Amino acid sequence: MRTRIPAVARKELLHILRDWRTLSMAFVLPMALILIFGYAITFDIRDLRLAVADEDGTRASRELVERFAASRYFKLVAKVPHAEELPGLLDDGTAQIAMAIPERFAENLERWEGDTVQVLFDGSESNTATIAAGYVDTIFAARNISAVKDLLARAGLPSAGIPPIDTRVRVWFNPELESTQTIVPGLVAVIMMVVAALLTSLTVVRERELGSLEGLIATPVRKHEILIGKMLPYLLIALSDCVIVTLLGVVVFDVPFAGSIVLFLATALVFAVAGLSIGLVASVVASNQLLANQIVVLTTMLPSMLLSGFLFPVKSMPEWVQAITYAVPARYFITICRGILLKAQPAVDLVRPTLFLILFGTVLLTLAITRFRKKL
Amino acid sequence: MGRILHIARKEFIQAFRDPRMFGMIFIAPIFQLFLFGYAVTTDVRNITVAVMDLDRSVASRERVRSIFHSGYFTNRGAVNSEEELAAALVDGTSDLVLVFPEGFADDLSRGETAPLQVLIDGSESNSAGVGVGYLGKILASYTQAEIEVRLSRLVARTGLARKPTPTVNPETRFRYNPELKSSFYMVPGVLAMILLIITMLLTSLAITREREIGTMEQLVVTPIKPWQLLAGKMIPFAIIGMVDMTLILLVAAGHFRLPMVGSVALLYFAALIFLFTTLGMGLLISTVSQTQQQAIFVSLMVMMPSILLSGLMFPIANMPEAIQWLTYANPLRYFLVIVRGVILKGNTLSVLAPQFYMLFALGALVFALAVARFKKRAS
Repeated sequence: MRTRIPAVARKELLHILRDWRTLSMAFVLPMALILIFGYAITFDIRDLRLAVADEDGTRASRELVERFAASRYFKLVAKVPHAEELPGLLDDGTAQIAMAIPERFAENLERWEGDTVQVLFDGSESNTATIAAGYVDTIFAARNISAVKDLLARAGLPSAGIPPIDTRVRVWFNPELESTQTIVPGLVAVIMMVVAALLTSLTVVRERELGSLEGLIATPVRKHEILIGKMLPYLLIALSDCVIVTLLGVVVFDVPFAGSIVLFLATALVFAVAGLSIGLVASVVASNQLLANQIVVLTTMLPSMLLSGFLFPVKSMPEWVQAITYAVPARYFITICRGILLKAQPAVDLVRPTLFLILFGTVLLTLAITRFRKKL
Repeated sequence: MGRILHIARKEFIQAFRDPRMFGMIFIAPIFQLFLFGYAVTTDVRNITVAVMDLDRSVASRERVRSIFHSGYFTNRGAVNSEEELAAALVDGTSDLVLVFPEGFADDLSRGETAPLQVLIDGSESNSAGVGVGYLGKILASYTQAEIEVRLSRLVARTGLARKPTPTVNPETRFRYNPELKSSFYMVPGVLAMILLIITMLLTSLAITREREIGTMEQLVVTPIKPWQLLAGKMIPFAIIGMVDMTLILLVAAGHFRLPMVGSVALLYFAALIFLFTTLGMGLLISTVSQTQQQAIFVSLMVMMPSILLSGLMFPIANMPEAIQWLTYANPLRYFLVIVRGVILKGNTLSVLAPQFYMLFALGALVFALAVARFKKRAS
């Protein structure tokens, strides 16, 4: 028997081409997303706002402050005479870090009694505070090493071998260790997922709401023919989006494309089918367009961004959250995108995530077809 | 007044006719709250490390043991050649590879600084950076021990009465969130985000739906005035937004133990002003959309940048300067500062006045623009 899929696909394509607003948005939205995300999302922290209360006001205390001011991670925004004024600067957001150098700081150092310096962080931005605390530790450590070396040299003792081990870090696949390089390949996956699911999410439910599904039901077209036929034109759009977004990533954000283009397109195809199928399932089960949209936003947008390793590593999450991430298709495609774009991973390394994606696509499409009731 | 209530009632009935909508309006926000509260964490755990020991000495083996003993790293096993090393990074089984070069133990025994090569997989820049940080912490303890040894030697040589301490150490304290829980940062953000999404999306779709189905024409020919129609449509969504906010605050306090340092009344007052922008944006979107699908797309185009360029997940200060300028036009930015300030820091109106002014100005602008456009289309 002849399949009616091409006929349904042609009809859907005509629908899409007639609604130029939606069509243009299907292309503009992904482009806007990659540009905004690419520029706005960064884990590279610099210019932390530092306030200092130098109650000592000696050469030693100024030298310590100078170490912070010279670092590209800190920006000295306020100098106040008394430590009591520091909390207020954190309260109103003037500073993120406040350091109080006590009186007799230099005197204590002179007598080699050591000292502590209070450093207060704005913990309401917990992520920034964690990273900032690391930078603060590093600056103190460097200061301490040079102080000890100084002391040993003055006593005529050898000062080599401090620190005993020196790390020489080399970063592979992303030499400058810029977060953009890891975020953009992930973005390709996130954007594709969101757009693909959005595209198909309204197809069936719109026809149901507007009443044109009635006409389709009266024809002998079978359920799988309707759904697959409806999906095909969107598959084309989703793949074009993928190409556009990746190109923008390479051109605008200088992300390398180290691996195989063929492997990339093949895996993108599999991923697009999974994404489009999620949209179809939502479209089939929802009674109105708003609900279909909410289902899609809830099942694709947030999980793809938060539960996929896109921004936050999966293996750091609580166990029960990790278990959920296995059901997030973007998780696999993000691994694939990073693998191909940055690492030039060979096909062997991509087999496992690709198989997962194929499994997803098949299960979801089957679900959409079985749940699709060809009646009113 | 009666007409407004009639429309509001109709809108409530419409919103909850499908029982699943109830879930979408009230359960989904809680789901998102949990997602953000738990999944968003920049703590990096289980970093996998492979070791290539070219020195094969007691000293290098000892260092390896203590590095894994620290609990920060998971041992992926040894690599024995350049090829194996490359494969370990390419196939993603290792985040870090430590290379102990030949002569490592000799350098140490001669009292010189021994180099340790660290190769990291930069394709996950976040984990990589944090991994290097942890390694630094472990090695810092060696440095500290070495410093102690040298200072003791100094005492023995010079006959000082006690060991000198030339070192200065920071005494670190975290204000507002002493344990640095990510959820304290995210939960107030989710509150602002959900208020934006729910009220804007519901408004834009409810009005577009009338146009799409054709019932808008019927409404226009009734004696209802446009402003009454708008008020009747928006009041239900404003109420839904406020209920959602209350729900989130309760879960945040009960489950995430989020403190409420400042004034709850001030928070609701800010939310009320914020609603002018979100409802206004929803209305504005409905005036440029013919179908619900278009409205959804436009809403997303507005929502995504609003959320990303607000400082919700990524501090604005880290963004490129041009992007930072854009954020000044984003109402969510000001609302977020207020929400975090009131909840975590206990900020008062006097501290937050600039944020309130901006929120009010933007709200008035968007709302007036939306109403003007809507009236033009309705007549």
